Amino acid sequence: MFVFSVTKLSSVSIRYNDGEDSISHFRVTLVDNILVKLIWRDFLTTGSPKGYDIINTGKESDSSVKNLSHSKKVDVQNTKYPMPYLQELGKCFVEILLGIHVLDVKLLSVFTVELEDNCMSVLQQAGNVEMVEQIISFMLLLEKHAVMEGATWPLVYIVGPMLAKSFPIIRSSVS
Amino acid sequence: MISSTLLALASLLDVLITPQQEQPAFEKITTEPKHASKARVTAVSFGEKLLIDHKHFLDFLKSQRPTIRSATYTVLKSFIKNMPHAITEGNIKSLAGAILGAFNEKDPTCHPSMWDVILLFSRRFPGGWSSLNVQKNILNPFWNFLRNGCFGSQQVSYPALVLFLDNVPPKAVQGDKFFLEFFKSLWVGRKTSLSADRLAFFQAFEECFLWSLKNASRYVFFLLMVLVCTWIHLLHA
Repeated sequence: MFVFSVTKLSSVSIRYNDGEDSISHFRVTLVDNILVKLIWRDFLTTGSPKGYDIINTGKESDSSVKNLSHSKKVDVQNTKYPMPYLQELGKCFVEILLGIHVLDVKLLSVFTVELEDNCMSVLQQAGNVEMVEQIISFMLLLEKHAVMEGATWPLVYIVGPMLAKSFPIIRSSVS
Repeated sequence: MISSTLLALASLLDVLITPQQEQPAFEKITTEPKHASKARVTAVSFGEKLLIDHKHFLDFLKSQRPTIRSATYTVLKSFIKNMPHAITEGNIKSLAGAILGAFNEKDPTCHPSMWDVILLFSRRFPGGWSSLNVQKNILNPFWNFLRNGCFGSQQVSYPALVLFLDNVPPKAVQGDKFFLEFFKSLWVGRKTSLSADRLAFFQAFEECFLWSLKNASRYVFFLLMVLVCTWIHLLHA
């Protein structure tokens, strides 16, 4: 019985022996599922049915709207948000990023990986004007609510890595 | 008439029983007059009797009239605040069911007093959560409340959310699952055409999200405690 107990304990301990790891896992789960998959994707795809294809499959489909589930299609058609909504959503998003930066800068990478993937997808596809505009809007909001107030973290942790990853594609498309 | 009586009772309890340290400084006196002390004892005695005679006023929460339900939340808050000793093991389950299950309340005029009593009860009696089926009695109505944009009380309900999170006993919920469902439900309920409501929404979303990241240790710590207890149990099995 004791051997059984110790074995059980070991298997449990291996997974949870580090409280810091568990806190980190908890935070990553929230940032990934809520900040990235809910808020950021809403911001990025607002008013752009193509956006769902690009995010979900990495490429644009000719029948992007047709392939959407009925509920999603209805949602997209209803997503004619007024500009103030996008501004407020963007501001909220940037302020959360700022909070994350203060709390644990490593957590920002959960978002920056997604942003880099989005940028690569957009650059590799032609005609994704809406998504390009949204990414530019995000950069402008980042500038307005963080950089203009003296913060350098958006450049160091978000814009810098994104440009570094995108630059080869931008250069090849220009040349 | 009923709602006025309930509100009058709540005010009387607040005035007669509220502990001296909670009263405004200018009302504080070094020695309490005898008649004030006597009034307090009498009020407590009558309060206890009223609470029992009217079965904790819970039937009023079933009233069709929002003013009566709202006044009932107010009087319950007053009892919890001024006479916490009246909440016992014998009545905590029925009170918890009525108070923590109040997210079924769809009338926005009731929500200010509803939130007051929910927050106070959760803070003073966290054990009330464990007396209920949390998922069925509290969380399911709460998710529905959020998905429906708080049934129109955004200005009152959204600012209360972070206070609510702060009062949820960690052992009553499954950390990450609870928060994922919380934010998803909140997000669904965001659609509103009013600028002030949108502002309240985004402010609450930001507050709650950062709060949950900062307080992750509460939930992880509890999980670790459960594992330690499991370990001890296994060793002694």
